[in-house]
Formats: sequence, structure tokens, C-alpha cells
Amino acid sequence: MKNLLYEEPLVEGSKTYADVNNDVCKPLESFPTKLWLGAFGIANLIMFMGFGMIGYMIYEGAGMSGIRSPVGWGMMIITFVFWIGIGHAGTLISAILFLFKQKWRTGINRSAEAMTIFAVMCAGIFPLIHTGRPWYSAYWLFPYPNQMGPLWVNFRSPLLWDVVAVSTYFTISLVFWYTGLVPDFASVRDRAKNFFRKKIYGLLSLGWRGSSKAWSHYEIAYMILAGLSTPLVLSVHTIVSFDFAVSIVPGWHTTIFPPYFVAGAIFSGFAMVVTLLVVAREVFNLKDYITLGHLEAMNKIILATGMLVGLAYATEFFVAWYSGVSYERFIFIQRAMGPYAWSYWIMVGCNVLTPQFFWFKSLRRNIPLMFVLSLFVNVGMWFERFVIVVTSLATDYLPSSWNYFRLSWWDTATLIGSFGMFFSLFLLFCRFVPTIAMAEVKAVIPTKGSEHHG
Amino acid sequence: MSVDLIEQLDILRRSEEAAVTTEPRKLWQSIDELGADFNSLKAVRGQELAVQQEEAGPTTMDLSRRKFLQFSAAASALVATTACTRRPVDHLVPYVKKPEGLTYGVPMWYATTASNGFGVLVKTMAGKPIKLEGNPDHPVNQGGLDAATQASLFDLYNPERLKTPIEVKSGKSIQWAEVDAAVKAATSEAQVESVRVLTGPVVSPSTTTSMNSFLSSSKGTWHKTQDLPDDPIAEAINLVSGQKSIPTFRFEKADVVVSVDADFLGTWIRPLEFTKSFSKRRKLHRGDANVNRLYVFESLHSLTGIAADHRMSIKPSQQLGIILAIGSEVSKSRSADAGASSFFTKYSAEKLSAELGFSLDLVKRAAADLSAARGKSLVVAGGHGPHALELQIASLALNSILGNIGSTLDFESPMKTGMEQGNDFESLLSDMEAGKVSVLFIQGVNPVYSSANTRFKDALSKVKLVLSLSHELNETASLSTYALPESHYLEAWGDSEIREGHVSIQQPVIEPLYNTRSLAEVVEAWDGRTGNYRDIVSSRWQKIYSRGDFRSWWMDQLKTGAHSTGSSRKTPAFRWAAVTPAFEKLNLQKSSGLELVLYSSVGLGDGSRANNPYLQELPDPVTKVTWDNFAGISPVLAAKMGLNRSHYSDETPNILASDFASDVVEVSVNGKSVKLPVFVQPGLDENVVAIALGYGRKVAGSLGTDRGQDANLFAVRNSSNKLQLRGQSATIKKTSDRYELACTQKQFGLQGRDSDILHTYTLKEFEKTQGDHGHGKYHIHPTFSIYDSKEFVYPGHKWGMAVDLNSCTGCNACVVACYTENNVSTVGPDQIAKGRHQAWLRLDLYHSGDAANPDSTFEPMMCQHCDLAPCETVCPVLATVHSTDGLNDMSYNRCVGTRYCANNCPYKVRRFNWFQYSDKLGYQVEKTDPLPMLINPDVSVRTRGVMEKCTFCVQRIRSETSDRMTRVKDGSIKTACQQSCPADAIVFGDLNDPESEVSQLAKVTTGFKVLEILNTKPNVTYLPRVRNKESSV
Repeated sequence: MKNLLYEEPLVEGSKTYADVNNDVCKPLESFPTKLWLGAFGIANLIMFMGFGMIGYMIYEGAGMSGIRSPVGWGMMIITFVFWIGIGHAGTLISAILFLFKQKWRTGINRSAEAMTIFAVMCAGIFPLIHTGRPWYSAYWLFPYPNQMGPLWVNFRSPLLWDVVAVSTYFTISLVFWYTGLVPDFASVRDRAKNFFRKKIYGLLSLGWRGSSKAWSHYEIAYMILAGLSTPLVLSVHTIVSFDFAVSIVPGWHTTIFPPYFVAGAIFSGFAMVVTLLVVAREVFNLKDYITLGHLEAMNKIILATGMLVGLAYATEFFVAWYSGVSYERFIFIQRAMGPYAWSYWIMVGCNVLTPQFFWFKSLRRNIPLMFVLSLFVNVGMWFERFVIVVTSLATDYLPSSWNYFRLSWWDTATLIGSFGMFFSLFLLFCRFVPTIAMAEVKAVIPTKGSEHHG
Repeated sequence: MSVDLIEQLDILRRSEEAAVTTEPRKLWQSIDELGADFNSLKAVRGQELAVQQEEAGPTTMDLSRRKFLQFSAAASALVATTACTRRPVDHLVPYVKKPEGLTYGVPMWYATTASNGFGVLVKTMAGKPIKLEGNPDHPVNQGGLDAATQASLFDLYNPERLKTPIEVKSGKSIQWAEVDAAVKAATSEAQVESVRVLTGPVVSPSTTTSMNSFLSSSKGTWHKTQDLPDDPIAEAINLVSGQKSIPTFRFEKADVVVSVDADFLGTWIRPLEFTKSFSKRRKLHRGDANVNRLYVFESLHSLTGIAADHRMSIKPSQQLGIILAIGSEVSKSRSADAGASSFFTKYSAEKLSAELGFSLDLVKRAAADLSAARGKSLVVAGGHGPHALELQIASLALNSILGNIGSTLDFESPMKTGMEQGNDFESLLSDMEAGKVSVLFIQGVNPVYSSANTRFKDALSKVKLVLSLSHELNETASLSTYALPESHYLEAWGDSEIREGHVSIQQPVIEPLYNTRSLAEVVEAWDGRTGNYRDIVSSRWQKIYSRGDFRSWWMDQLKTGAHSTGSSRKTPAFRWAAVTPAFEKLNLQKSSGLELVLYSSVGLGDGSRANNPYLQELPDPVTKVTWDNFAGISPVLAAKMGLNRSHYSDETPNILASDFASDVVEVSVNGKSVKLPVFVQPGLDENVVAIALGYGRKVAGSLGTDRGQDANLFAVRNSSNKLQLRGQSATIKKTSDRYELACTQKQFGLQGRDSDILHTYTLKEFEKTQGDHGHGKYHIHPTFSIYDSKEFVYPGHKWGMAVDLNSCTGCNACVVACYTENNVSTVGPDQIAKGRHQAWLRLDLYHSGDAANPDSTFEPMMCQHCDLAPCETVCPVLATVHSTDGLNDMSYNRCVGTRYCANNCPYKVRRFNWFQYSDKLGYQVEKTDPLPMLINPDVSVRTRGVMEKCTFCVQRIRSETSDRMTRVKDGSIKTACQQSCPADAIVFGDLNDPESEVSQLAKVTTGFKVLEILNTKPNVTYLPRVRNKESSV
């Protein structure tokens, strides 16, 4: 008979504490493999191509992008929302799952948090460069004391809320991530034989000695930060959704946007974590730490949030009809049947149909399948933002102004470039930072007798 | 010291301080504290031993020796680095002697006359003309000014103007003296009749006098032609009356107007004049219930067709048949002129309709309405069809039967088109071919381009000396011996008479920018007279005025710009018998297959304005295509031939195409063919293919050259040897090419949003709605706000606008006025195709109903200056805010370009500078000197990355309200669009002034706000379009 009380071990392969350190620190302490070098080279190339594109646009003008009247926002805002969404899994895993004492988070939280930070960095670029004059928007959007009156920002504008929300989110995520890293940096420092390595990691570990008092402070700090980040998981994408929901554009002006955006963000974030970890555990040989159990748990969340997103799509349609507003109805009919129907059905296919595979346990634990499906979800979530941003603007109130939006080659190149940046940062992270929270993992290593503990 | 000790000390200190706080005991730590006040003591505690600094005054700096040296090092480094770039040398030249009455920043206005004879007011800033407006004192245009004339200001500053005379073969710049010598030599040895002058219309009496004097001394002949001739109205009148004149069409007196292919509101003869007079009868919303009714039978969908109350698409071959059918119906009932009605009695409407295949319904209705409005109706015809001359005779006869001669057709002060004198072009051509011409002087026309064949071009080589006077190098000038630079009309003296008895003065407002001469100055010089042409003009005017002090009278004339002398002309007697034989031979046959329609576009006209970016960028009012011509076909034909129909979409669910590229077709006529992209447009007969002339110029500067295709080669001569532009049999063949036309509007259907966007009524519906206090056809959902509506009151002025859709003809004058007033950039075809045109004011056009005969309505759309503007709340940097007088202001230097405001604007009137558009013409050609002089200094030139939009011409408002003490008089501020509107459809003013016209119009019950349902509270009121549809039979 199956043991119903059996709990899958969170770390496999009967690891000792020393094994954990050895396994996790190995990529940091050995010469980079050809695979890493190759991947990093390509990612870098793409990243600098992206930077080149951005520079070209700042030199030439915002018209390099495919945006046009009346579609004032295009690839850049779509991709901004996309990356912010990706960033959500990290905070969710590190903060909410921590508070709920979900121990399975320990194997993946480090890389998920790293991913969050990199995703928010990628996201942060886009609202800046999408403005007509980035050299001013870089600081005019902040309420700083000035001699122009003083001239303040418009606190009623959702874009300003955005600036605050995203920068807060980035700061908290970074501090949270770094706090978690301090003991692990100390471990790396203690293992270091090289002088410079010792100095650098010594500096990074902020003089961590591992005294029990320090541990106790550390845990309180970590708990507080988790508490601070938790509302951010909900607030950031809520505020991003206000960019749309507060406007009067049909298809944007809906109250469902905050929960809908948050669900979508977690959905896409988890998909991105799966994409990255499936590769990372293979490449850096971390299968014992990032187990199938971890991946399965994430797939369950993907399934749940995917269903939420699907529900949101259906609700939007219902409300558009129920509201009786002809413009609203029109937009939704256009989305499904109009000139952008292709993007709508990509979105529905990728976001609603794809996760349905995860109803089956065998498929939830099928590495190649989940990899492919997670990619689909990422594509689908980009298109979700495309559908929201573009279709509403393209066919709003006055038919005389309607126009069809197309991405320009610049848009495509810059979008790809942002992925180059994301992967470059992630690869650097894999090389220089312990990818598994060693200190936390050690706490969940199965010890003798612990199988029957639960 | 151990940690514990420090802590203990700290605790001690704190308890001590606490004791001090709660109970100010006389504890003292230093001798200074003894007896001091506790609060002042606290501030210095801990610093007792510090060296006391001098109290720093407001101007002294806390600067140590080190700091000083650091600062000086940094400053010198800064100076060294910034000094590395040499700033360009620029000269500011102040007036050494300031002209009297001139104040910097305050414009001076002058009245003068444009080259086409319309009165203009020229706004000059620091001596530079920057804006043209219609002269309200001019009897013909009465304040309005059309798009093309306004845009002609660009020609003055066009960097590609001819600047000196050029010997074309060598390309060498020469002096006028050399030209004069060459002409003198050639004319002196020339035989009689071998000196020829070829010009376009000349409306100036002084120039005509000068020219005649030159021709008599050189024994030459004057020929006149037009690149795009008017319909043969003068010839028709000449045939029946022996008097070659075109009457003034008094549209303002006509209750019923019938037009057969005469686009009198768009391109026919003098649309500015006709729009002015026609629209006087469209003021339904301003208390004039006696509106006119317009029937239009046309082969092109034109502005006149859009203004029509009843419209029917026809083929060009049906033009004459329609007039004859109407005539036969009218002559059944009554006749004022038996001779004329004899024309029609032998025709029967039924038979004509069966033979030519047109429907009779509208013909009969028009005939009935015409008969009922005897003496108060007007029939006009045009369109250069296969029977152009007969058409004019027949319509004249019809007017005669209706008793319109002398009432709506005013022969007593007829039009002067400048073509009254002069020999024709054909005789010149045959003389040139025969080698009888030794000197040819060409001005104002470009026959090498506009001829259908190469006869003129070939014949030019047989002429020894060809001189061409033009603004720019064109096809004809580039084949001449000398290309001579012509002065702009703003640089030269002259006069004009475009209606007999009404003369106006052309006075220069700027010294010639280059070594140029006007036509009159050229011939004067060749005639051996030099000197200021002003004297010649004024001496001619002295003849007009022989009473009293001429000089003060002359100064008055210069101020008003126009003078009426009265005309002694009489209405001629018509002898219909003279033309009856021509009609007997007439063979009206039903044509099969496609017919060609060539037309002149509102922007480019005959093509001479091809290098003008304002006009190239001006959307064709009916199709909204810019920068190109195309083959216009009906949706039915497009469907039949499987041609792309993306540009026309009706109310079907297929709302918006994703691909705007058009199929390219090969249009063939008489074995000649041209490849053009198709444009599928409603309002065309199924068997018509329409192509605009004026495109495909080969030598027209950097903007005009090779834009579109030249369709002049399709022009033929009809049976009465008149130019035929319409009705040629054509074929079209689909090719595999595709081409994207730059179109500023892609969707022309209202999608059932009429209630919110555009109200149109028939007269009956309208009267019912009016009686019902605005409740009728349209239901406006009531809106309310959860906020206090008295949140903000406008204490002083509150600016608002009213747009009368019933008057608006869509002529585009306002669009160009807005471009020139507000320094709006032209962006070129590629950017427009992407949807990035910059027009602050656009004319939205919506079709509804039948695709062949749609009900089309223009809706000028500009910033609505909403009280609750959605753009204002979303801008993160407060770049767009509300002013205390109700304007939605835009501060360009604060804008960072998030485009959120544009997204949130339901009217989509906000324009973004995607690139540095203001540096280039059409985003193609770098703006070089002297073009910057064209810029209106009162309006910021926008840099890339910022949003711009209609400001209600805030610069005009601010210059009038600068004292802020008195309420501005209604009408003293006119926006640029309002000033130029020949139909007076735009009213601007103060909504807080209960007496102002705009506040009256804002209260009209049938008026509406666009998208009122959104509760944006716009300040622009639209007065609905009312179609006077019910027949009065």
C-alpha cells in the first residue's frame, strides 16, 4: 500500500553539509566551461546589440519603434509589463512561501530571486527609453526639489505611481536577495584559497561570522523583509495595471485588471523559473537540490494561475457584454475576431490551453514537456500584454483615427536584446553567486528519521 | 575604555539631559552657561570649545584656502573643456534706423493681392511675411482664403527658387543685363509676328498694359493657355451672345443649385469665391431657415458632392444627357426663354435615361425643384467631358429658361479670369512647328509638362530664343535658353481685377530676396523702361480716381487693398439659333466599359505647386491620400476585379485591414498606359476610374519631382476640339505590384456610433428635433459626476469653439492655416503611411449609406479643450495642464514624451514628434535658408520627443488678453482656422460672455459634443449637418 504520509525529500542523494557546499560552490570555483563561455558570449552579443539599438533610437528618435498614432504604446510598454510580470515569481517564492513555511522553496528561491532582480532591471529600461526624451524622463519623473517653481510631478498620474512601485520593488527585492546571500558569501569566502577571491567575497559577506546571535538577527531581518515584500507581490503589478485601468481607453478601463495582472504575473514568473531551472539544474548538476518535486510544485502553481488568467479572460468578455458599453463590447469582439485575432488566439492558446497538461502528474514531472510548455507560457504572456496594449488603442473611440500597429525591426531587435541582457545577467549570477541557498538547504536536508517526521 | 563603561556614561548623560528637559535646574557645565537661557544653551552644547566662526552673511562663502584652490582648479578645467568647441559665428543685426511704428514682437499687417487675384492680409514680423490671411475687405473672397493661396507663402522662402537668371545650356548664372541685351538683339532683328509671349491667365490690368506696350513695340503676339484649362464657358457664351465673358455665379441668391460635374466648392474655376457665396445659404443654425438645396450629378466624388443634399454618381458620358433631361422636364412646365427651351423640347428625359443608362428619379426631382425656384436657382456644369462645349451651352440655356440670367448669373459684373484677351495655344504651336517663331517668352505655364504629347517640347527646339520666367526650374524652363527668376507676388507691385469693377492692389511687403523680376517688370525692362513699377501701378490707379487728393486716397487703397469702381457691362442678349445646328448633329450614345475621369486635386491643382510640402502633405479631402495620386475605383469594381479594398470599409464587421498596401493597376487609354495604385472609394460610378492631374512632375525640385504619376498624357481633344479630360474609354489591368499610399484616415465608417460622434439630419428630422428641444433622432446618455460640478469656475474668459458642420465644405483651408500659423511640421509620405501626420486640425470624413451615392460628412477635429481633460490627469510631469481661461495648455519644454496623454485622448488629436520633424521639409529635405524666416516666432518650434496639439491659437489669445483688465470683445480673437474658413463654419470666442456668438451657438439644442458620453466636457460644440432632402414637389 502506498504510504500516504510519505513526503518527498527536498534534497535527494543523501547529501551531507559538506556535499552541499561542494556542489553549490563548484561552478564558482572552477574555470568556466565552454558551454558557459559560449552561452555567455552569445547572450552578451545580443545584449550589446540591444544596447546599440537603444543608443540608435536615442540618437534618431522614438519613431524607430513601430508605434504610431493612435497606438502610442507598443513593444516597449508590452515588454516592460512582461518583464515586471516575470519578476513576480521571485518575490512570491522568497516572501510569501517563506511566510507560509513552504520548505520546498529553499532549493529554488535564490535563483528565482535573482531572476526577479534581473527581470526588473530589464523591465526598468523600457519605460525610460519609451519616452520621447529619455534624457529628461530619467529624472523628471522623480519628485525632487528643484528651482523650477518648484515644479512637482503629477501625483495623479499612474505612470508616477509606476515609477515609485517599480523602484520600491527593485530595492526591496535586491535587499532581500542580498540578505539571504550574506551567509552563503561567507561560506564561499571561507572556502576560498585565492587571495582576491577571499577579499571580494569577504567584502560581500559583510563580516559574517555565523555566531548564533548573528543568525538570530539574520533570521529576524529576513522575516521582516519577507513581510515587507509580501504586499509588494500584490501591489507592483496592481499599480502597473493602473497604467491601463485608470485611463478611459475601452478595453483598459476595467476594474478586473489588478487581480488579473497579478495572477498573470505569477503565472509568467513561474514559467520563467521553470525554463531557467530546467536548464540550470542540468548544466550545473544541481538535480539533487532542484528536484522533480520542486518542478512539480511550480507546475501546479502554473496550472492554478493559468486557470485564474483564463477566468479573467472570460470575465472580461462577460463584463464587456454586461456593461452595455458599446465601445467596450466592440473592443472585445475585435480582439477575438478583428485584425489582431491572431494575437488573441496565440494568447489564449498559450495561456489557457497549455497549462491544462499539468493536470496529469506524469506530465508535471516530464522535464522536456514542462520546458516546452513553460516557453509557450512565456510567449503567451508577452502576447497577453500585446493584446491589451495594442488592440484597445488601435480601435478606440473615433474610427477616423484607427490604424494598424506593426512592430518595426527595431522593436524586434530591442526585444531580443532585452533577453540577451537577462540571460547575460543570469549567467553571471550562476558563475559568481551560489545558485542554491546553501544555508537554507542545509536545514532541510533529510536526516535519519526525518522521513517519519511529517 | 570598555564597552560597558561607554554605555554607563551614556546612560548617565541621558538621564542628566532628561533631568534638564523636565526640570530646568541651574546646572552649568562651563562658565558661559552660567545664567544663560536653556534653549540657546542646548544649541551650543558640545561645541563650547570649537573655534567660533564669523557669522556668515548671505553673500559670503564658507571658503577655506584649500576649497578655494579646489574650486579654481575645477573651474579652469571646466573652462578649458567647454572652450574646445568653437561656437559658430552668428550676427545679430539690430535696426540702425528702426522703421516707424514697428515694435519688436508686434506683427504688422499689410493688405495685398495674391497672384490669383484674391485679397490677402500679410502678417509680417520684423519685416518678414509669416502668414497669409484672407482680406475681409476684398469683395470676392471676403475674408476666407483657400489652402493653396495660404501655402503660397512657402514659395517665397523656398530655398529652391531661381535666384538669378540662368543660361540653361551652360548652367551659368548671368545678369539681367545680359538677358535684356539678348532679348533686345533678338527682337530688333525679328520679323513681324515672330516674337511670341505665352502666359497663363493675367488678371492684372497694369501687367496687361505693360505687356501690350511691349508687344506693340516688338511686333509680337500674346498667347495664353492654362496647364489645366477652365471649362469652355466663355466660348459657349461667346457663341450665343458674341460676348466672351463668364458671369459671376451668385450662389448666395440660389435656392436650388444643380451641378453636373462642376466641383465648384473644390476645384471648379474659383472655389474660394463660390464657397463663400454658397455657404451663406447654409447658416441653418444661425437663424437662417432659408437654406438652399444642392443637387449634384458627378463622375468624381468631390467636395461639391459631399456638400450635396442629393447626389448621383454618373459617368462622364452622361453629363450632357443629364442636363438635357433636366432641361426637357423643366421646359415642359414653363419657360422664360422660348428660344432656349427649343433646345430641350425635342428631348425626352425617359428616352435619354434609357439611351444613356442613368436613373431618372433624381433628375425629375431636380427639375421639379428648379421649376419651382425660377430666377432663384442655378445650374452649373463642368468636368471637361466629351461634349464640354455643348454642355456649357445647354446649361446656359437651362439657366435661361429658369430665368436665372441676370439674377443668379450676374453678367453685369462678370468674372475676369485673365483669359479674356490673347491668342490660343494651338496657333502658337503650329507657328512654332512652322518655324515662324524666333523669340518665345513663357511665364505662368508649363506646357512641356502639361501637354498630352511632345509636340510643344519638339517645337521648342525650332525657336531661336526661349525665355522662361518662373519661380523654380520646371520642365519648360529647363528646356529654355534662359531660365529667368520670377518675383513672388509679395515682392512686387501690381494689381488685379478678378471681378469686373473690383480692383485690388498688390503691394510688396518685402524687398525681393533675390535678383528677381515680376512679369510686368520684365516686359517693362525689355520695352526700354526702367524704374519702380509702383509708379506705373499708381499712375494707372490715378486714372480710376480723378477726384481730389490722389495721394491720400491711394494710401487708403493700400490699407484696404481693394476698390470697387463699378461696371458698365450689360447682360447680353442670347441668340440660340446660332448654336442649334451643333446640337442637331449631336450623337449621344451609351458607352460601355470603363470611362476615365481626370481631375485636379484640391492641393496640387495643375501641378505647379508640386514642390510645396504643405500642399503635398495636404490630404485629398475625399480620400485622405497625401503625396501621391492613384486610380480611384468604386468598391463594386474593386470586388469584381479582385483588387485590394482595404481603404474603403463600410459598416461591415471587417473594420480595419491589417495591410494598407494597394494593388497597382495599369490604366490604359488610347494605347498609352500608366501604372498607379488603386484606391477604393465610395461615391464613384462602377464604370469610372479617376486619376488626379498635377502629379508625376519631372523637374519640380526635391519634393515635387517624381511624386505620383503624370496622367496628362491621357488628355485628348473632343469632337468640338476642346480639351477632354473625362469620358475617354479606359481599361485597367491588375499587376502583381503593391504600393502603400500615405493616407491620413483609414476608416470611413461610423460603426454605428453616430449618436456619440456625428449627428446628421434631414431637414424634416431636424425641424422635428428642434421643436422637441433636441430630443429626437439621437439619444445622448446623461452623464453625471460624483464630484462637485462647481469644483472650478472660470472667473474670467472661458474659450470655446463652435463648428457648423452644415457650412463646412471640407475645403482644407483651415488645415493649411493651422500648419502655417503654428509651425506644424510636414513629415512626408513614409511617416504618414505609418500614421504619424502632425496636423493639429484634421477633417474627419465619414460615409454612410449606399457605396455609390454615400451620405458623406466632414467633421473638423481639433483639441476639444475638455473641462475634464483625460490627458491632463495622466501626464506624470504636468506637461499638459488646464489654464484659468479653460484652455488645455501644453508646455513643450516640460514634456518628456510618454505619449500617455495621446493614448488617453478619445479624440486622438495629440501629435507626437517621433523624429526631429521640424528640421526637414516632409522629413526629407533639410530646411535651409531662408526657410527659417517662415517660422511664426510666437509659436515654439517643437523638438523631437514631445507631444503637440491644437492650442486654440493661444498666442493670438494671449496677445489680445495681455492687459487682462478688460473683457475681450467678441470676434476680436480669431483662430487661424476660423479666419481662413471661406464658409465661416468655425466660430471661436468666450463662453462666459453670454452675448458672444460662440456662447449662443453652444446653447443650440441640436448642437452636440463629440463623445459627450465620456464626460470629458469638451468646449467645442458641433452643429449638425442637415441635408435638405425632401423634395418640395
